[in-house]
Amino acid sequence: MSSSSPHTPSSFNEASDAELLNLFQKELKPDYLGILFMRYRHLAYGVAYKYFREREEAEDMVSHVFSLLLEKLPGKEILSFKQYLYGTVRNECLARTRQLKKEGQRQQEWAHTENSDTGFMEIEELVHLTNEQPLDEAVQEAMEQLGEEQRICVYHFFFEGKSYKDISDETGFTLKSVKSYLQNGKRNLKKLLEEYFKRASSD
Amino acid sequence: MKPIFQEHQCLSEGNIEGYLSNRLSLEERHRVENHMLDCPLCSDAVDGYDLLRADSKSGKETEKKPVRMRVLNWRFFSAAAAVIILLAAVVWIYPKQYDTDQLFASYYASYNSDLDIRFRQTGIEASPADTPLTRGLQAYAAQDYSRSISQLEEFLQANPNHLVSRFYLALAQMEEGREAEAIKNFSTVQMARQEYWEESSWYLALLYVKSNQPEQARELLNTLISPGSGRYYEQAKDLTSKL
Repeated sequence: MSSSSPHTPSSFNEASDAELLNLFQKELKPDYLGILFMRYRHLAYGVAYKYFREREEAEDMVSHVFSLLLEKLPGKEILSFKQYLYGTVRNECLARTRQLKKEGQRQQEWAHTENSDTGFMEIEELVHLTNEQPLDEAVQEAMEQLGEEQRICVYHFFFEGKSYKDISDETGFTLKSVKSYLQNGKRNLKKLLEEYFKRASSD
Repeated sequence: MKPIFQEHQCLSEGNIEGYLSNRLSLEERHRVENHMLDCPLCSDAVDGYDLLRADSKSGKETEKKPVRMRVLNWRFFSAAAAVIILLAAVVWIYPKQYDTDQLFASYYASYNSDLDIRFRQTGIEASPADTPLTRGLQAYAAQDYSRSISQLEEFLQANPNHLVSRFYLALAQMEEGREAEAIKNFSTVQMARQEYWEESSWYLALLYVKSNQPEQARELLNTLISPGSGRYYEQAKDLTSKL
């Protein structure tokens, strides 16, 4: 490993994703990417299995994605490794699925991978804000502005600590709908709270 | 009330296995589900492992490896990391081997008929006449490639120097998997260095990749790269790096 790195070999496991990515991009040593990739390998495998429902295809996809990353990451500006990884796995699975079905061709999706909203919610700033300011009133106000289904699911999940399944049983919504109402509800809540804190800070 | 916005680490294999087998505490289960709301990587992965479990139970999943998810431990990670690093080193050190079909598929995108736009740009109305040329181009736009081929071939018999129709004929042949004929027609258009020169060069290069003729492909790609810009400049550079 490089002497320019602030990490000793034993401490690479504690290095952040950004640090490992930076080391890989700087020194082009696959070891760094290998360590970083291993943090998410099982997740990439799960995503691939969701697409293929076959272990071997999923395994092959994981290896394929790793070799793609080796080629594509050098010199590329990446904000979040896991976000980039997710976009890559998803795009490659879609391309492979199309190839398997001979239904069509792959779209030009690299730009999409890097720029589009892949559904990750960035909450760092909000975590910081909610740690510093009282939340009850803000949440109350934001909750009132959510759609009914989202409000019900968010209430059961965050206020009563119920699971997806409990909520589904209680409301009659399908599990998929519960998850979707919660994802969108949380996303909307985030936006509303950000607006609330923005207003509060400007008052 | 549970914390709504918390920073979580992505789920470990243990988390996922515990969650799916209902072995987590209420607190831990909530943390997992809350994290999945923010992280599509984990959410999709959990869906995948859930399907894997269901497939294993129903016998649909046929692969011979043990059905149980691998447990996260140091030995597994070390062994896997060693394999990955070895694999990476091989990829890094040795000349790249690639699957030609896969490489072709990863760059290939159907060409969308742009004749209406080109005609409008040049102020020429697309001919409304019902001729083999218009029928062939319309069939291409409608993705009826076999009809497009027969109509354009008919037109080209009488007009062998018509580059636009030859270009679309080559595209339709490529879509139909008639690659040798497509190569011949793209070459004709490409060598004329007039209309659709750039497009023909790109598709010809892709067909050379697919037919495992990297030298020819590289030569064509260089002609797309050397001007320093162009419709296929970035893709050509990218593809060249993989040959």
